[in-house]
Amino acid sequence: MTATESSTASLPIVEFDGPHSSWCLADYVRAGAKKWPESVFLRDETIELTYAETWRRISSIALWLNGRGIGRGDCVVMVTENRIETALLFFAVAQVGAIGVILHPQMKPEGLRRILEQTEPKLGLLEPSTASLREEFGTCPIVWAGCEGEELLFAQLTATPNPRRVPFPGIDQDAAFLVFTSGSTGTPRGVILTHDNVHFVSEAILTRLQYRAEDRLAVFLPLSFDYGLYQLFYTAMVGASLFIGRPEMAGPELPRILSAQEITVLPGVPTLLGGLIKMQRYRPVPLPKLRVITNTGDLLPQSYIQSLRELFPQTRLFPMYGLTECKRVSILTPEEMETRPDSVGRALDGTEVFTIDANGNRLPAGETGELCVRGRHLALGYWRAPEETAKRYKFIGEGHSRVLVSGDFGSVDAEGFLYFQGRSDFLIKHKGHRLSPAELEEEACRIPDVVAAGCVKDEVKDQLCLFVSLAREGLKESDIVAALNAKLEPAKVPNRVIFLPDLPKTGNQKVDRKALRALL
Amino acid sequence: MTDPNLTAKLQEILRPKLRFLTPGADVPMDEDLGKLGLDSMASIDLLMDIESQLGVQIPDELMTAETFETGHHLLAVIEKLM
Repeated sequence: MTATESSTASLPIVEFDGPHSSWCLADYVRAGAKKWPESVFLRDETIELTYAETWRRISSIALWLNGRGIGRGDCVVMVTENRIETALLFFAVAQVGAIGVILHPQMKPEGLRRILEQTEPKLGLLEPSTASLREEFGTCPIVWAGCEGEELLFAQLTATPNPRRVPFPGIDQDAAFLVFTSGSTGTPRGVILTHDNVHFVSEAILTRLQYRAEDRLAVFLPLSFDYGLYQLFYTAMVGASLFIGRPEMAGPELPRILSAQEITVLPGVPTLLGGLIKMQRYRPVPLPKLRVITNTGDLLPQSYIQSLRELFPQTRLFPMYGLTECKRVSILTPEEMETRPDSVGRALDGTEVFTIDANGNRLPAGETGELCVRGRHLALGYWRAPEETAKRYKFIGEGHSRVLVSGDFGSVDAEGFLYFQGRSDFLIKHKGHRLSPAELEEEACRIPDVVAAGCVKDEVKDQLCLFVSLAREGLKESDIVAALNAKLEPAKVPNRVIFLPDLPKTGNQKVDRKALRALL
Repeated sequence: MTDPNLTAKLQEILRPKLRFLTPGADVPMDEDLGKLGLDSMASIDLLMDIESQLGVQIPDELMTAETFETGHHLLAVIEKLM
């Protein structure tokens, strides 16, 4: 049975009883509790919850939220490490029509304050590791996970033995959650995803990835990162089970955890997969059950693709491309990778991707321009930021169709295969050339012993600077320059190479070019 | 009793991997290494350097986030293996 068939088949057994009889994303779990009540849905190192028990807890929390008057359109802000409680509260928030906001646990007070000002939450979720952020929430009530305290404890929320169901009060076009990203102005911006966005895109994604009921997924990416979060939905759609891990587990112990938890599906980003490659080369752990690896977040360097195929010949590898503003744009299947190794795949079914020139005119196939996306997966925009929304989401053409102008550069060939060339927000102009730092970084990563690379322009000195970290000492600046000079046009060879033990990364594990620029 | 030489050696291995450590400062052995800037990739380098420079092999069952949590945790594991 394909993913599409299984999720379509789920619809009739769930009855909708809210005022608008509408689907909401908590219905993934409700349907799961009917279809696979005894299957395990969520696990961590200490507990596992079946679909039935997960749904009972979500219903209990929803009832509690309802009793506190938290409902349609209210924001609930969660700042925790990845934990099961966060997932439960997230679904319950959706069930009562409220809006979930999951933030990175390493959030700094200043950044959190700016998000709290925008969202004016009715409730917060914190845990011991984020307790220092308590005062930023002011008078907003806080539920505490994983600790004892004088305020509300999470266990109280899930205590109702046979909770009646709170009907979903909204429609599927309502905001279900916000995903905060760095905005163009420096103020964090919340991308508004609807229940319908999730419904549409998750089905389209699983049509390509083909997850199965017997799959055991693991998430080590933060739940504040949309690709981490969406693993909850994909898992529930097919009745699989999800191990809730944490980013710090993606180090030396990653292969051991994958083996012990018998993980079959690993969603990754380049840094996580780079770590896995490194560990498997250093001290291999047999992982015969690992059948799917996906990559998103940043372009997966070709050298990583080759290494993964060598180390895991039985594993299906899916490079993907997307941006939070529509979640996912394209996926390359392993079969397509055989003939188009440099592509990031075709647009999801029922969606369209094309390029435009600097004047906003649509370009013919094969021509490089700014990537534009159409489809039901386009988010509503940025929370309380109409101007930034209007810059990204435009109505163009005579059909007045709504288009996401991605800010990324690339090309789309005649058969619809997408080739990503870089984020224009970070596009570098140097010596009259327009260059993508991603290209230089990818080339640098092909040099043996180079583990990570980040490229920025020193505008003051008009120098192209490359930051690299090495697997072991040995390579000198001149070696790197020589190796790149052999591969790239002279204008793309860095003027300066700076060695760091490790490159700064954003909360989503991408190379943080802004932080690199600050080091110049 | 911990060999002071071993502590010093471990600190020298740790130092370049802790991005947020003030240059020249001592490595605080009780501080969370993650907070000092050790991320998952750097902890793999740390494992490799410990094993090659201190001549121990950290067995699978000790390859946990807890082992890599602080300098003292690492030291305790290394001492047990020596």
